[in-house]
Amino acid sequence: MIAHVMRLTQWEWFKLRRRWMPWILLAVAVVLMQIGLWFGYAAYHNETLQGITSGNLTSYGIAQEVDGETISLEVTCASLANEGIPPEVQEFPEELRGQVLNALEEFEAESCGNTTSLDEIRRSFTIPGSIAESMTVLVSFAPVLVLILAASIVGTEYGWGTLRTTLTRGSGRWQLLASKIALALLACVAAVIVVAIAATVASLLASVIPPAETGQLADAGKWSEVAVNFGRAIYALAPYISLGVFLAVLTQSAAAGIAVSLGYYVIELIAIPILNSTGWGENIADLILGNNVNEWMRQTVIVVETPGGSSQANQPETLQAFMVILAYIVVLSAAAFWIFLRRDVAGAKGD
Amino acid sequence: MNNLVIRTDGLTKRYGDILAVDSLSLEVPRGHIFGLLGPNGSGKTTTMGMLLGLVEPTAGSFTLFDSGAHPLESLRRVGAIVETPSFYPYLSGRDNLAYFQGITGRTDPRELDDLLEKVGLADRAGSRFRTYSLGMKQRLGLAYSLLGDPELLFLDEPTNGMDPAGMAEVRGMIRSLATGGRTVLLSSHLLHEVEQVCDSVAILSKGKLIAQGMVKDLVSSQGGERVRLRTTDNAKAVEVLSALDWVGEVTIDGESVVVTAPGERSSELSAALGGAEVYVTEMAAEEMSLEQYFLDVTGDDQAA
Repeated sequence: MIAHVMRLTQWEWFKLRRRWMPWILLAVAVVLMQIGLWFGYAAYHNETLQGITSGNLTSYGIAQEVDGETISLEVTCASLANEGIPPEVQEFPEELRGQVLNALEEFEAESCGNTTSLDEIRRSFTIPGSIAESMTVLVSFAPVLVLILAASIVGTEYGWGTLRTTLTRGSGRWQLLASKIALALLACVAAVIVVAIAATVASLLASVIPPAETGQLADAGKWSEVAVNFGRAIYALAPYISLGVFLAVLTQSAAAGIAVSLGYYVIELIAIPILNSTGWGENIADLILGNNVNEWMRQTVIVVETPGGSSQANQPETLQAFMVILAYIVVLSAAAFWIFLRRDVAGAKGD
Repeated sequence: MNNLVIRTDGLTKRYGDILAVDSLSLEVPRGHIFGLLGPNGSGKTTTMGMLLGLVEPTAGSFTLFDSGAHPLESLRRVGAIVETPSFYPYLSGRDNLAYFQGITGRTDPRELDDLLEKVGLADRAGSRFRTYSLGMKQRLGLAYSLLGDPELLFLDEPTNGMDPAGMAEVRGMIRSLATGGRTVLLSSHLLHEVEQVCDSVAILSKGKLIAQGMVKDLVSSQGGERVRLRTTDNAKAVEVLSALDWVGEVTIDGESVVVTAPGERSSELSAALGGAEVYVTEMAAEEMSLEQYFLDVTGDDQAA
């Protein structure tokens, strides 16, 4: 049986590589990843962009007259991130110090959330960080591509009526659907590898363009993180395969499957911040697929080790994300199989 | 080797309130070209769908090759085209066949070449399926159904969309396919096609089996030949001929009287009428056709 599924997958691959659609999706993935990588490169070398992304241009100042003398303090997001609270705070009288510290905390929380240190920017276009980063970037937009791919692989069979032609050759229903899911997974693995290769080539190119920046090729530890990121990226994309396949089977159409799954994806994007802003909604948001995929991939960003710094790993949240993603994969796939095995197969629907 | 390749027992399919197939019990002998006839909506395609595992029966059962083999194993001995042949539009005809050959675990480029040659598609084998005419699609469907040299063929309207020459060619091909023990289940709305090609036939109407048997037996069971004649007094002719005990049904059809009677006794008909001073002006023996038989047994359902 497994051999039969593998054979079907092999021939599904034969068909897939003769279609335009997967090549277009792959090109989109590579181009978007390249945009991210070269933006990092530009941000690192351009003073203004560097200032914005690193937080050097986001500043906060306090001036206070004490005993006829003006005590002033100016910080930036970058200085807070790299050097912490400046020692000048101690010059403020004790009764004011608390207020100043509170003001700095507020500034950091409100204005410095999206800043990235220069080291982090640099690693986004140097090997091996760029490879790991490319996978994280890929997962940020690839669900859309994966939904299109998965729904199309299954839905077009209904539209063209080829499901009937295939099943009458004794393919077996569950074997056929399993081979299609395996194909989508295989395509995702191939896409992540291609994106990683494209990131490597771009990083090598970036390393020879003056002023050259080279990575840490000899750093074996970081390479193992690339491998971990690879596995995490595939796992993060897997529930979207299940979702696309399920909706295509449910609607018996590629177009409807794509439309409904993308609609769900967009609604999730809108719903997550709304739910997170309410106390009762946070628990619901914890169960939403996109939220858990974000959490899962957030843990994959290679942490820049700073003296005295600690790992950002948050095991309970990561475990929860893992379990929720797994639940989506299992439930959606099981539902797709359940429908596919039971429903009668009609002719072409002209999708 | 068992003599039945398809056996259905009370096969039923219901879609809500609609009974598409009603307790169908069929027996298809090995090596026959078996016609499945019926008006539109009589359940022919649904029956094929159930036998091919595409449609789940509501009740009843069936066996292919009269064996207890797994349905998938049985299906691998079957070739089928159901309604319009459906293939991948972006693949060439040859790649489509290669795919369907490959998923059964075989790769034999020579078989593909032979089949494409056989159905007359060798010249267009490299063209994408979406560029094919309906007739070419049917030919590719035939080639597909013959992949792996199946023991049982399901052909649903195989000449649909073909020109007259192509239809004649395909009919000849279907006859040649039923050799070496291969069985063909042919569904067609062209009754003369079925009569020309099939050995035996099942007639469906509103999902029910109306008749089943050898074509020649079914036709002769309705009284065999008929004689059409014109007389000087058709009403009196009906009265006279109805009184003859060896004459079957006597009806008026337009300006003619149609009599079910053996053609070789035409002179006795003429003599009987002459004795009653009714004179025959025109007389022709008509053989009962499958089409006439079909219309008779399906009544108001009309031809398929």
